[in-house]
Amino acid sequence: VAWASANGADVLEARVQLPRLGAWHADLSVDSDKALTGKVALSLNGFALSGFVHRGGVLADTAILRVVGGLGGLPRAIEAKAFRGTPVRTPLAYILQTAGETLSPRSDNGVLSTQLPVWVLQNGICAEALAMLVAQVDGAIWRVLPDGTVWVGLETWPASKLTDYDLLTTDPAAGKVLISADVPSVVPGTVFEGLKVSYVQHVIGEDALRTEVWGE
Amino acid sequence: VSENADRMKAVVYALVRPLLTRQKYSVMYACTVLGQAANLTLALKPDSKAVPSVDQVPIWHGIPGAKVKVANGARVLLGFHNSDPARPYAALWGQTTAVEIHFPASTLVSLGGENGTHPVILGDQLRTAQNALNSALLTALAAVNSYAVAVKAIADPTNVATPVLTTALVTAFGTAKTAYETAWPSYLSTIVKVKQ
Repeated sequence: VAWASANGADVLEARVQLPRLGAWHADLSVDSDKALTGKVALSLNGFALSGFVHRGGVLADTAILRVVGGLGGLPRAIEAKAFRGTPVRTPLAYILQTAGETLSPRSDNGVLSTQLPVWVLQNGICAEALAMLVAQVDGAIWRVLPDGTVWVGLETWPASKLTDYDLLTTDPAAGKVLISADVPSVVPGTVFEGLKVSYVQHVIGEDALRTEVWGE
Repeated sequence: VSENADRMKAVVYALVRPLLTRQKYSVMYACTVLGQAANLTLALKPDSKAVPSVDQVPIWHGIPGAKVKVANGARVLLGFHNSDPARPYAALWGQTTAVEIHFPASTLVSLGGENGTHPVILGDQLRTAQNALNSALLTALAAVNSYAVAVKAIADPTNVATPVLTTALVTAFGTAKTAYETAWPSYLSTIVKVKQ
C-alpha cells in the first residue's frame, strides 16, 4: 500500500517541503505512464494537499514531477498599478486575481483591513508583489496552505493538531525532530514538540513516510 | 532575465530576485507632472511603463519649508523613501519654470551669499509712507503759497512775481507727485514678493 497518492495514482517516492513563508512544493515519482499536468490532489496517507504541476514528464513508466502549492499562478507577471487610500485587501485582490490564486478565508482580517494611504506596485511577478504588500503590515506573512489557498496574516502559534506520532530522533542543536506519523498533519506556524514550526519536510520512500520538523 | 536565462542562471536569479525587487524602489524615475493639488502634491506620469502613474505625491525640495507651484508638463523625479512602495516622493526638478516659489524663513533669507547685508524694501509700505510725505510737502507748499499771497497784498502790493512763483511751485510739485504715484507700480516687482 502506497503512503501517498497524486490524483489517485500511487506515489512511489516523494519529498514534500512546507515552509512557513511562501509556497510549499513537492517532488514526486508517481506510478503512472502518463505525465501529470495541471491541478494535483496530493494525499499523504489522508493529509491532503492541493497543488499545481510546475514541471514534469515520464521516465520508465513513472511520472516525475514537481508540484507547487496553489494554482501555479504566483510566478506570473503583474502590471504596475498605484493604489491610494485602500485597505491591504484591495491590492491583494488585484495580485491574487492576476495570479489566479485564491485567498484563504482563514486570513487575518486585521491585516487585510490595514489602510494603505498609498501603495505603488511596479511591474514584476505576483509572488514578489505579494511579499512586498504583506510586508506593509508589521509581522505579517503569507504562505500557501496545504489546501492550496494563499493565507495572509500574523502568526498565532497554535498547538499542532498532530498528536498521533512516534518521535524517532531529536536534534536540539539544530532545532528539529524526526517523526513517523500515519497522517503527518503537522504544518508550519504551529507549535510541535516545543518547537515553533518553521519548516516541515515529508520524505516518502518505498517502505516509510518520515517527517522532519524544523523550529524557528 | 528569468525568461531568457538557462536553468542555473534562473536559480541564481530566483535567489537574488527579492533583493532586486527592493532595488526597483531604490532608484528614481523621470516623470512628467500631470497636475498639482491644492496641497501642492503632484500627479505624476513616469516615463517608464514599469511604474504606474501616481497622484498626491509630496515634494521633497531640499530646502526646509519651501513650496513650489509648477505647471503641468514640468519634469521631476519620483523616488521611494526607504525603498518602500507606500512612501513615494518627488524631488529634483528638470528643465522647469516654476509658477510660484515660496521660501518661508523665520530669521534671514540672504541673497548673494552671507555678505548680503542690505535689507529688501517693502514696496507697499514705502509707497504709502512716501505718498504721505509728498502729500505733506504739497500741503506745506500750498500753505507757503497762501502766506505769500497774503503777505504780498499788504507788504509788497506791486510784487507780482512771488505769487506766480509759489503757485507754480505748488502746481509743479502736485504734477510731479501725481506722476510719481502713477508710475510707482511699475517700480514694483510683480514676481518677487517679500513678507515683513
